[in-house]
Amino acid sequence: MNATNRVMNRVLLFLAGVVLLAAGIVALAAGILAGGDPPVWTREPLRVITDVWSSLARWTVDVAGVGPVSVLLLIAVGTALLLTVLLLVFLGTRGRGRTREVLEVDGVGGRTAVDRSVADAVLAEPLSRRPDVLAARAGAYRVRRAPAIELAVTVRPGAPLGAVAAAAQAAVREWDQLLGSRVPILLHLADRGWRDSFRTATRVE
Amino acid sequence: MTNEQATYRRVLRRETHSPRTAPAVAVAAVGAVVLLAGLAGGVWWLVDPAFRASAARWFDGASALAAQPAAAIAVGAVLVLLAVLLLALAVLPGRRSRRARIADRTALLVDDGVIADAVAAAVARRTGAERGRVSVTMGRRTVTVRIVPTSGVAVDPAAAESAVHDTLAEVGFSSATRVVVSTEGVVA
Repeated sequence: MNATNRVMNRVLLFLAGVVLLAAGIVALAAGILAGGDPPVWTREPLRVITDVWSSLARWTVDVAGVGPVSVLLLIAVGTALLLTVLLLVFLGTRGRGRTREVLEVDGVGGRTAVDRSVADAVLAEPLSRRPDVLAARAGAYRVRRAPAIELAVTVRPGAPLGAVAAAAQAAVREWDQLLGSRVPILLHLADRGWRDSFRTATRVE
Repeated sequence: MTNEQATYRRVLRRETHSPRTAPAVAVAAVGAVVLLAGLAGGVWWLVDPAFRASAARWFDGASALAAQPAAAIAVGAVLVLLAVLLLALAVLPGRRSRRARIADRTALLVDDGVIADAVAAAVARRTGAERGRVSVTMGRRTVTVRIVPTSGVAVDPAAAESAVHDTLAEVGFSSATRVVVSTEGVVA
Protein backbone atom coordinates (compact mmCIF):
# COMPACT_ATOMS: atom_id res chain seq x y z
CA MET A 1 0.00 0.00 0.00
CA ASN A 2 3.00 2.30 -0.21
CA ALA A 3 3.06 5.34 -2.44
CA THR A 4 5.83 4.23 -4.80
CA ASN A 5 5.37 5.76 -8.25
CA ARG A 6 4.87 2.60 -10.27
CA VAL A 7 4.79 4.37 -13.62
CA MET A 8 8.37 5.47 -12.95
CA ASN A 9 9.33 1.84 -12.18
CA ARG A 10 8.00 0.76 -15.54
CA VAL A 11 9.51 3.74 -17.39
CA LEU A 12 12.94 2.91 -15.94
CA LEU A 13 12.61 -0.77 -16.87
CA PHE A 14 11.47 0.21 -20.37
CA LEU A 15 14.34 2.64 -20.96
CA ALA A 16 16.91 0.15 -19.63
CA GLY A 17 15.38 -2.49 -21.91
CA VAL A 18 15.60 -0.21 -24.96
CA VAL A 19 19.24 0.68 -24.22
CA LEU A 20 20.20 -2.98 -23.73
CA LEU A 21 18.28 -3.97 -26.87
CA ALA A 22 20.14 -1.37 -28.94
CA ALA A 23 23.51 -2.45 -27.49
CA GLY A 24 22.66 -6.11 -28.09
CA ILE A 25 21.63 -5.50 -31.71
CA VAL A 26 24.82 -3.50 -32.36
CA ALA A 27 26.94 -6.31 -30.85
CA LEU A 28 25.08 -8.95 -32.88
CA ALA A 29 25.48 -6.91 -36.07
CA ALA A 30 29.18 -6.38 -35.40
CA GLY A 31 29.67 -10.10 -34.81
CA ILE A 32 27.77 -11.10 -37.95
CA LEU A 33 29.43 -8.46 -40.16
CA ALA A 34 32.93 -9.32 -38.90
CA GLY A 35 32.34 -12.97 -39.84
CA GLY A 36 32.57 -12.47 -43.58
CA ASP A 37 32.47 -9.87 -46.29
CA PRO A 38 29.75 -7.36 -45.29
CA PRO A 39 26.83 -7.25 -47.76
CA VAL A 40 26.78 -4.42 -50.29
CA TRP A 41 23.80 -2.57 -48.86
CA THR A 42 25.55 -2.05 -45.49
CA ARG A 43 28.51 -0.15 -47.03
CA GLU A 44 26.72 3.17 -47.54
CA PRO A 45 25.14 3.44 -44.03
CA LEU A 46 28.39 2.26 -42.41
CA ARG A 47 30.36 4.91 -44.35
CA VAL A 48 27.92 7.64 -43.25
CA ILE A 49 28.13 6.53 -39.61
CA THR A 50 31.96 6.49 -39.75
CA ASP A 51 32.01 9.97 -41.35
CA VAL A 52 29.63 11.48 -38.78
CA TRP A 53 31.54 9.84 -35.92
CA SER A 54 34.93 11.11 -37.10
CA SER A 55 33.63 14.64 -37.72
CA LEU A 56 32.04 14.67 -34.23
CA ALA A 57 35.25 13.35 -32.70
CA ARG A 58 37.19 16.27 -34.27
CA TRP A 59 34.77 18.74 -32.66
CA THR A 60 36.64 20.10 -29.64
CA VAL A 61 36.50 23.06 -27.29
CA ASP A 62 39.44 24.71 -25.55
CA VAL A 63 39.24 24.41 -21.80
CA ALA A 64 41.45 26.95 -20.03
CA GLY A 65 44.55 25.26 -18.60
CA VAL A 66 43.80 21.84 -20.13
CA GLY A 67 43.79 22.42 -23.86
CA PRO A 68 41.40 21.02 -26.47
CA VAL A 69 38.81 18.60 -25.07
CA SER A 70 36.40 16.57 -27.18
CA VAL A 71 32.83 17.85 -26.92
CA LEU A 72 31.57 14.28 -27.11
CA LEU A 73 33.58 13.43 -23.99
CA LEU A 74 32.15 16.43 -22.15
CA ILE A 75 28.60 15.45 -23.15
CA ALA A 76 29.24 11.85 -22.04
CA VAL A 77 30.58 12.95 -18.64
CA GLY A 78 27.69 15.37 -18.14
CA THR A 79 25.12 12.72 -19.07
CA ALA A 80 26.76 10.19 -16.75
CA LEU A 81 26.69 12.65 -13.84
CA LEU A 82 23.06 13.59 -14.48
CA LEU A 83 22.00 9.96 -14.86
CA THR A 84 23.79 8.98 -11.65
CA VAL A 85 21.99 11.70 -9.71
CA LEU A 86 18.62 10.72 -11.24
CA LEU A 87 19.17 7.04 -10.43
CA LEU A 88 20.12 7.84 -6.82
CA VAL A 89 17.00 10.02 -6.48
CA PHE A 90 14.97 7.16 -7.96
CA LEU A 91 16.43 4.69 -5.46
CA GLY A 92 15.74 7.09 -2.60
CA THR A 93 12.08 7.60 -3.46
CA ARG A 94 10.94 3.96 -3.51
CA GLY A 95 8.68 2.56 -0.82
CA ARG A 96 7.40 5.80 0.65
CA GLY A 97 3.95 6.43 2.02
CA ARG A 98 4.01 4.77 5.43
CA THR A 99 2.76 6.95 8.20
CA ARG A 100 2.61 6.76 11.98
CA GLU A 101 -0.74 8.48 12.30
CA VAL A 102 -4.04 6.93 11.34
CA LEU A 103 -6.12 10.02 12.12
CA GLU A 104 -5.34 13.71 12.32
CA VAL A 105 -7.88 16.23 13.55
CA ASP A 106 -7.10 19.92 13.61
CA GLY A 107 -9.33 21.44 16.26
CA VAL A 108 -9.55 24.87 17.85
CA GLY A 109 -7.44 23.86 20.82
CA GLY A 110 -4.75 22.18 18.76
CA ARG A 111 -4.05 19.04 16.77
CA THR A 112 -5.08 15.51 17.72
CA ALA A 113 -3.33 12.53 16.16
CA VAL A 114 -4.09 8.84 16.64
CA ASP A 115 -1.03 6.59 16.48
CA ARG A 116 -0.78 3.43 14.38
CA SER A 117 -0.24 1.35 17.54
CA VAL A 118 -3.81 2.17 18.62
CA ALA A 119 -5.08 0.63 15.38
CA ASP A 120 -2.83 -2.37 15.99
CA ALA A 121 -4.29 -2.83 19.49
CA VAL A 122 -7.95 -2.36 18.52
CA LEU A 123 -8.05 -3.95 15.05
CA ALA A 124 -5.29 -6.56 14.94
CA GLU A 125 -5.09 -7.73 18.55
CA PRO A 126 -8.55 -9.39 18.80
CA LEU A 127 -7.92 -11.14 15.47
CA SER A 128 -4.50 -12.50 16.34
CA ARG A 129 -6.01 -14.09 19.47
CA ARG A 130 -8.24 -16.28 17.27
CA PRO A 131 -7.04 -19.89 16.92
CA ASP A 132 -7.56 -19.88 13.14
CA VAL A 133 -5.36 -16.81 12.64
CA LEU A 134 -1.58 -17.04 12.50
CA ALA A 135 -0.85 -13.32 12.64
CA ALA A 136 -2.59 -9.99 12.26
CA ARG A 137 -1.14 -6.53 11.99
CA ALA A 138 -2.37 -3.07 11.14
CA GLY A 139 -0.27 -0.72 9.01
CA ALA A 140 -0.99 2.90 8.18
CA TYR A 141 -0.31 4.52 4.82
CA ARG A 142 -1.17 7.79 3.19
CA VAL A 143 -3.43 7.23 0.19
CA ARG A 144 -4.80 10.23 -1.73
CA ARG A 145 -3.37 12.56 0.93
CA ALA A 146 -5.34 10.93 3.77
CA PRO A 147 -4.44 8.07 6.11
CA ALA A 148 -5.70 4.58 5.31
CA ILE A 149 -5.24 1.35 7.27
CA GLU A 150 -4.19 -2.04 5.97
CA LEU A 151 -5.39 -4.82 8.25
CA ALA A 152 -3.37 -7.83 7.11
CA VAL A 153 -4.52 -11.15 8.52
CA THR A 154 -2.54 -14.35 7.89
CA VAL A 155 -4.98 -17.22 8.37
CA ARG A 156 -4.25 -20.85 9.07
CA PRO A 157 -4.75 -23.15 6.06
CA GLY A 158 -8.41 -24.12 5.72
CA ALA A 159 -9.66 -21.56 8.25
CA PRO A 160 -13.33 -20.57 7.84
CA LEU A 161 -12.91 -17.34 5.88
CA GLY A 162 -16.42 -16.12 6.57
CA ALA A 163 -15.87 -16.32 10.34
CA VAL A 164 -12.50 -14.52 10.09
CA ALA A 165 -14.00 -11.80 7.89
CA ALA A 166 -16.94 -11.40 10.30
CA ALA A 167 -14.55 -11.09 13.25
CA ALA A 168 -12.60 -8.45 11.31
CA GLN A 169 -15.81 -6.54 10.55
CA ALA A 170 -16.69 -6.63 14.27
CA ALA A 171 -13.25 -5.23 15.11
CA VAL A 172 -13.75 -2.52 12.49
CA ARG A 173 -17.13 -1.59 14.01
CA GLU A 174 -15.47 -1.28 17.43
CA TRP A 175 -12.73 0.85 15.88
CA ASP A 176 -15.29 3.14 14.22
CA GLN A 177 -17.12 3.62 17.51
CA LEU A 178 -13.87 4.36 19.33
CA LEU A 179 -12.67 6.82 16.72
CA GLY A 180 -15.97 8.47 15.79
CA SER A 181 -14.76 8.97 12.26
CA ARG A 182 -14.34 6.73 9.22
CA VAL A 183 -10.84 5.86 8.11
CA PRO A 184 -10.58 3.72 4.94
CA ILE A 185 -9.60 0.16 5.89
CA LEU A 186 -8.29 -2.57 3.61
CA LEU A 187 -8.85 -6.06 5.01
CA HIS A 188 -6.23 -8.35 3.49
CA LEU A 189 -6.54 -12.11 4.06
CA ALA A 190 -2.95 -12.98 3.25
CA ASP A 191 -1.13 -16.12 2.22
CA ARG A 192 1.43 -17.54 4.56
CA GLY A 193 4.92 -16.25 3.83
CA TRP A 194 7.89 -18.59 3.75
CA ARG A 195 8.46 -18.01 7.48
CA ASP A 196 4.97 -19.21 8.34
CA SER A 197 5.62 -22.55 6.67
CA PHE A 198 7.70 -23.47 9.73
CA ARG A 199 4.64 -23.15 11.93
CA THR A 200 2.28 -26.03 12.56
CA ALA A 201 -0.77 -26.26 10.34
CA THR A 202 -3.20 -26.63 13.21
CA ARG A 203 -3.32 -25.32 16.73
CA VAL A 204 -4.77 -27.34 19.57
CA GLU A 205 -6.63 -25.28 22.11
CA MET B 1 -18.72 8.40 0.53
CA THR B 2 -17.24 8.76 -2.94
CA ASN B 3 -13.89 9.82 -1.53
CA GLU B 4 -13.55 6.54 0.37
CA GLN B 5 -14.67 4.61 -2.70
CA ALA B 6 -12.00 6.29 -4.80
CA THR B 7 -9.38 5.40 -2.18
CA TYR B 8 -10.55 1.79 -2.18
CA ARG B 9 -10.49 1.57 -5.96
CA ARG B 10 -6.94 2.96 -6.06
CA VAL B 11 -5.68 0.67 -3.29
CA LEU B 12 -7.26 -2.45 -4.77
CA ARG B 13 -5.99 -1.71 -8.26
CA ARG B 14 -2.47 -1.27 -6.88
CA GLU B 15 -2.60 -4.30 -4.59
CA THR B 16 -3.77 -6.64 -7.36
CA HIS B 17 -0.88 -5.68 -9.65
CA SER B 18 2.83 -6.18 -9.22
CA PRO B 19 4.60 -2.92 -8.27
CA ARG B 20 7.76 -3.81 -10.29
CA THR B 21 9.79 -2.06 -7.59
CA ALA B 22 12.25 -4.92 -7.05
CA PRO B 23 13.45 -5.23 -10.68
CA ALA B 24 13.44 -1.45 -11.13
CA VAL B 25 15.55 -0.99 -7.99
CA ALA B 26 17.94 -3.73 -9.14
CA VAL B 27 18.35 -2.09 -12.56
CA ALA B 28 18.78 1.37 -11.03
CA ALA B 29 21.35 0.11 -8.51
CA VAL B 30 23.39 -1.67 -11.19
CA GLY B 31 23.18 1.41 -13.42
CA ALA B 32 24.27 3.76 -10.63
CA VAL B 33 27.20 1.51 -9.66
CA VAL B 34 28.36 1.20 -13.29
CA LEU B 35 28.10 4.96 -13.87
CA LEU B 36 29.89 5.80 -10.62
CA ALA B 37 32.64 3.29 -11.45
CA GLY B 38 33.00 4.84 -14.90
CA LEU B 39 33.21 8.36 -13.50
CA ALA B 40 35.69 7.31 -10.80
CA GLY B 41 37.73 5.47 -13.43
CA GLY B 42 37.74 8.58 -15.61
CA VAL B 43 39.01 10.79 -12.80
CA TRP B 44 41.65 8.19 -11.88
CA TRP B 45 42.68 8.06 -15.56
CA LEU B 46 43.29 11.81 -15.52
CA VAL B 47 45.33 11.74 -12.29
CA ASP B 48 47.42 8.55 -12.35
CA PRO B 49 49.68 7.66 -15.37
CA ALA B 50 50.26 4.11 -14.06
CA PHE B 51 46.52 3.47 -13.99
CA ARG B 52 46.28 4.95 -17.50
CA ALA B 53 48.80 2.39 -18.81
CA SER B 54 47.15 -0.63 -17.13
CA ALA B 55 43.67 0.50 -18.21
CA ALA B 56 44.88 0.87 -21.81
CA ARG B 57 46.28 -2.69 -21.69
CA TRP B 58 42.96 -3.96 -20.34
CA PHE B 59 41.04 -2.11 -23.06
CA ASP B 60 43.32 -3.60 -25.74
CA GLY B 61 42.58 -7.10 -24.43
CA ALA B 62 38.84 -6.40 -24.28
CA SER B 63 38.68 -4.99 -27.80
CA ALA B 64 40.71 -7.94 -29.15
CA LEU B 65 38.14 -10.27 -27.55
CA ALA B 66 35.24 -8.20 -28.93
CA ALA B 67 36.73 -8.37 -32.41
CA GLN B 68 36.13 -12.13 -32.44
CA PRO B 69 32.71 -12.68 -34.10
CA ALA B 70 31.65 -15.48 -31.72
CA ALA B 71 32.25 -13.34 -28.61
CA ALA B 72 30.38 -10.37 -30.09
CA ILE B 73 27.42 -12.56 -31.09
CA ALA B 74 27.30 -14.21 -27.63
CA VAL B 75 27.37 -10.85 -25.84
CA GLY B 76 24.74 -9.48 -28.22
CA ALA B 77 22.44 -12.46 -27.66
CA VAL B 78 22.71 -12.13 -23.87
CA LEU B 79 22.00 -8.40 -24.05
CA VAL B 80 18.97 -8.92 -26.30
CA LEU B 81 17.61 -11.60 -23.93
CA LEU B 82 18.03 -9.27 -20.93
CA ALA B 83 16.39 -6.45 -22.90
CA VAL B 84 13.38 -8.61 -23.77
CA LEU B 85 13.03 -9.57 -20.09
CA LEU B 86 13.13 -5.91 -18.97
CA LEU B 87 10.70 -4.80 -21.71
CA ALA B 88 8.31 -7.58 -20.71
CA LEU B 89 8.48 -6.47 -17.07
CA ALA B 90 7.82 -2.89 -18.18
CA VAL B 91 4.87 -3.64 -20.45
CA LEU B 92 3.02 -6.71 -19.07
CA PRO B 93 0.22 -5.98 -16.55
CA GLY B 94 1.72 -8.21 -13.84
CA ARG B 95 -1.50 -9.30 -12.19
CA ARG B 96 -1.09 -10.91 -8.80
CA SER B 97 -3.13 -13.95 -7.86
CA ARG B 98 -5.47 -12.12 -5.52
CA ARG B 99 -9.17 -11.37 -5.47
CA ALA B 100 -10.50 -7.96 -4.51
CA ARG B 101 -13.84 -6.33 -3.90
CA ILE B 102 -15.25 -3.40 -2.00
CA ALA B 103 -17.36 -4.63 0.91
CA ASP B 104 -19.79 -2.22 2.59
CA ARG B 105 -17.35 -0.79 5.14
CA THR B 106 -13.91 -2.05 4.11
CA ALA B 107 -12.10 -3.02 0.96
CA LEU B 108 -11.45 -6.75 0.90
CA LEU B 109 -8.37 -8.34 -0.61
CA VAL B 110 -7.90 -12.12 -0.44
CA ASP B 111 -4.87 -14.01 -1.71
CA ASP B 112 -5.83 -16.89 -4.01
CA GLY B 113 -3.81 -19.33 -1.89
CA VAL B 114 -5.99 -18.57 1.14
CA ILE B 115 -9.18 -19.24 -0.82
CA ALA B 116 -7.65 -22.42 -2.31
CA ASP B 117 -6.85 -23.75 1.18
CA ALA B 118 -10.37 -22.96 2.41
CA VAL B 119 -11.98 -24.49 -0.70
CA ALA B 120 -9.91 -27.67 -0.40
CA ALA B 121 -10.86 -28.05 3.27
CA ALA B 122 -14.56 -27.47 2.50
CA VAL B 123 -14.56 -29.92 -0.43
CA ALA B 124 -12.86 -32.57 1.71
CA ARG B 125 -15.42 -32.05 4.49
CA ARG B 126 -18.40 -32.09 2.13
CA THR B 127 -17.42 -35.09 -0.03
CA GLY B 128 -15.72 -37.20 2.59
CA ALA B 129 -12.52 -37.34 0.54
CA GLU B 130 -9.24 -37.12 2.38
CA ARG B 131 -7.87 -33.55 2.61
CA GLY B 132 -4.51 -34.61 1.18
CA ARG B 133 -6.22 -35.99 -1.96
CA VAL B 134 -8.03 -32.76 -2.83
CA SER B 135 -6.09 -30.22 -4.86
CA VAL B 136 -7.45 -26.81 -5.84
CA THR B 137 -6.12 -24.54 -8.59
CA MET B 138 -7.36 -20.96 -8.66
CA GLY B 139 -7.42 -19.54 -12.15
CA ARG B 140 -8.47 -15.99 -12.88
CA ARG B 141 -11.90 -17.13 -14.03
CA THR B 142 -12.16 -20.80 -13.08
CA VAL B 143 -11.58 -22.78 -9.92
CA THR B 144 -10.44 -26.32 -10.68
CA VAL B 145 -10.85 -29.02 -8.02
CA ARG B 146 -9.16 -32.38 -8.47
CA ILE B 147 -10.19 -35.21 -6.18
CA VAL B 148 -8.59 -38.63 -5.96
CA PRO B 149 -11.22 -40.72 -4.16
CA THR B 150 -10.62 -43.67 -1.90
CA SER B 151 -11.10 -46.79 -3.97
CA GLY B 152 -14.67 -48.02 -3.80
CA VAL B 153 -16.07 -44.85 -2.20
CA ALA B 154 -18.12 -42.67 -4.55
CA VAL B 155 -17.46 -38.93 -4.58
CA ASP B 156 -20.31 -36.61 -5.56
CA PRO B 157 -19.02 -33.88 -7.91
CA ALA B 158 -22.14 -31.78 -7.31
CA ALA B 159 -21.39 -31.71 -3.57
CA ALA B 160 -17.83 -30.61 -4.35
CA GLU B 161 -19.14 -27.86 -6.63
CA SER B 162 -21.58 -26.55 -4.04
CA ALA B 163 -18.78 -26.59 -1.44
CA VAL B 164 -16.68 -24.38 -3.77
CA HIS B 165 -19.58 -21.96 -4.30
CA ASP B 166 -20.38 -21.73 -0.60
CA THR B 167 -16.76 -21.11 0.36
CA LEU B 168 -16.35 -18.37 -2.24
CA ALA B 169 -19.68 -16.82 -1.24
CA GLU B 170 -18.49 -16.60 2.39
CA VAL B 171 -16.07 -13.87 1.29
CA GLY B 172 -18.34 -12.54 -1.44
CA PHE B 173 -16.69 -13.88 -4.57
CA SER B 174 -17.93 -16.22 -7.27
CA SER B 175 -16.25 -18.17 -10.01
CA ALA B 176 -16.85 -20.87 -12.59
CA THR B 177 -16.02 -24.27 -11.16
CA ARG B 178 -14.57 -27.41 -12.69
CA VAL B 179 -14.54 -30.60 -10.65
CA VAL B 180 -12.33 -33.46 -11.81
CA VAL B 181 -12.81 -36.76 -9.97
CA SER B 182 -10.02 -39.16 -10.79
CA THR B 183 -11.37 -42.37 -12.32
CA GLU B 184 -8.81 -44.44 -10.44
CA GLY B 185 -9.08 -44.29 -6.70
CA VAL B 186 -6.38 -45.18 -4.22
CA VAL B 187 -6.45 -47.84 -1.54
CA ALA B 188 -6.35 -46.09 1.79
